[in-house]
Amino acid sequence: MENPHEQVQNALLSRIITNIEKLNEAVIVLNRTLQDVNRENMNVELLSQMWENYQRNVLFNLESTGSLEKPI
Amino acid sequence: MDRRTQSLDPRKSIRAPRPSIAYTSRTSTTAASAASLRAPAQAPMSVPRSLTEELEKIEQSITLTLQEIDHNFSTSHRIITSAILPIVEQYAVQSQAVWQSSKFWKEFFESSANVSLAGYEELNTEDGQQAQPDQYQNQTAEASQIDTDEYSATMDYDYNTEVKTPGQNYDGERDEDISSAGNMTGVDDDESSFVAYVGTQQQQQQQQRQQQQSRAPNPAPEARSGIARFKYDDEEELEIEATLAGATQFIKSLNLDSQSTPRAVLAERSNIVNASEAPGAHPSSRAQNAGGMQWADMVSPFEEMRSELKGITHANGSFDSTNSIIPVPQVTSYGEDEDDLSLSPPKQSITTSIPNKTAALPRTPNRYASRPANSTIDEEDSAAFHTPESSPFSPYAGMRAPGSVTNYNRTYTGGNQQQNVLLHRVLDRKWGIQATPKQPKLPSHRQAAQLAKLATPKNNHRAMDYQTRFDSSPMDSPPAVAHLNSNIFSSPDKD
Repeated sequence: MENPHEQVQNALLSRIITNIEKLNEAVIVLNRTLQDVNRENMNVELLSQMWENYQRNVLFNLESTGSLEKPI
Repeated sequence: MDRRTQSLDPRKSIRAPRPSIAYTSRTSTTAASAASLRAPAQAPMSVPRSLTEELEKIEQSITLTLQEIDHNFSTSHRIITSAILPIVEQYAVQSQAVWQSSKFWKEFFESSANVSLAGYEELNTEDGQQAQPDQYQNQTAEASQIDTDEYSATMDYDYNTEVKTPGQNYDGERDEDISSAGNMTGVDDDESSFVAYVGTQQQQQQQQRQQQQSRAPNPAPEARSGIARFKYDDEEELEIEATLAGATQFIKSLNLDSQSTPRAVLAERSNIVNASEAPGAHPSSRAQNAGGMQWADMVSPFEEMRSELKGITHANGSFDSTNSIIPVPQVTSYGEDEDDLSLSPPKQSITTSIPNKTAALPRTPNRYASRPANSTIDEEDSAAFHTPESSPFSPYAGMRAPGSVTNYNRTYTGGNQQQNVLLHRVLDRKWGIQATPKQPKLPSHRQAAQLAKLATPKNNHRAMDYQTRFDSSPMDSPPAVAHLNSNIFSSPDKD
């Protein structure tokens, strides 16, 4: 009762499993890299928020003091 | 019908019916086993063939599908490894470069706003390490969510979230006291950003900060007259702190010493301080190192100038105020400057402690951290005391900028006594350049004052050298940094 298709399919399944394992590893690496990138960018975003806040403060102060000049 | 159903069931269940059986089972038999074989016999001959063919087809299609799946997986793996990962890694490198470049400004804002925003990175790395072994993919989403929460939480204010270690506790309180003693100008305590706050401390400091803010826009004489008051407020605050935490008792005595007691005791205290801080560097710098932060770029110009100024200091025997921005007319003020480098006595003790100043008592590296903030103010105070009209700038701005910049150096450089002398000096000079947009006016004023004050032509010559050197590059980054400081410091509290 040995089915040749079954053998082929078993071989294919094992190959698929191997490929999935490799793919999983690659995705893990990718995720890790993206996580690092996100961390870096989070800090950069934080910094941009700080600068934005600073810009808003400066703008508010300049407007309140009336010393804001129009762009050249 | 029963037979037909019975015959149909085996046909379904048999995976690979043998055609030979079906072919030969045309004769009817009474055996039950024959009944199952008879049913296919009633069907046409093409049916068993089609069954096997269908099975073959199905098997082949299954195989093809599996092959396709395999191919797709391998293709996706290849795409991820060959195309996406390099690009993402390159992007990571670039974003890291961006972060490295902008790290300075984050620390800058942290120091200026008295907050610590380092919680995000630490927490993220911890989560990543914990997440790696199991359920990685679920953890990433959770970690990112937690990180964003922490991030938003630390965005606002980090006093309560910081873990309080003994070293940090001491450092924070000391820095807080120092900076509060040094800041009567409404500037926030710079170094208390890396500090954990007790609740009552926090309230007191907020009250004090409100006082400082309310006092900040006041004109110069009021601010000067408020020096003693703020220092006494600090003393009261120190007492309360000492009762709160037993570990802060020596801090209290230390700060009180810095205001009233002679320097010999101070040296002992500083030894105690060093002993307590022995395991690592300066606690602030330790906190910075823990956060993975670097502050190398800010120090380099001072380091560069340090050697030269060190030569001046040794040549003159003592550090004089020839290069300082505020010209000090009297000889006693020289001693005051030198004394200010180590401690900040109140006004009453300024005049009495002059004889002690020339004595070169041992100074420890960590102790210097408390000097610049106090020293600038005392220098300003003394200068204003002796020559009220000597400074072309408002004392408010004058006291603010050097204190802030020296706080930076106090935190990140970890230098020694000589560096302290130099930083004090250089920063004063830098402040003069940066704080006033009126650049041409400064050199003439300072030069005139220095020429009037200086006795020896040697000092005069060197003073002119540094004068011209700093004035020649008014648009350098250090002045811009300090100039931004004065603006930024007031913004978070207003918010």
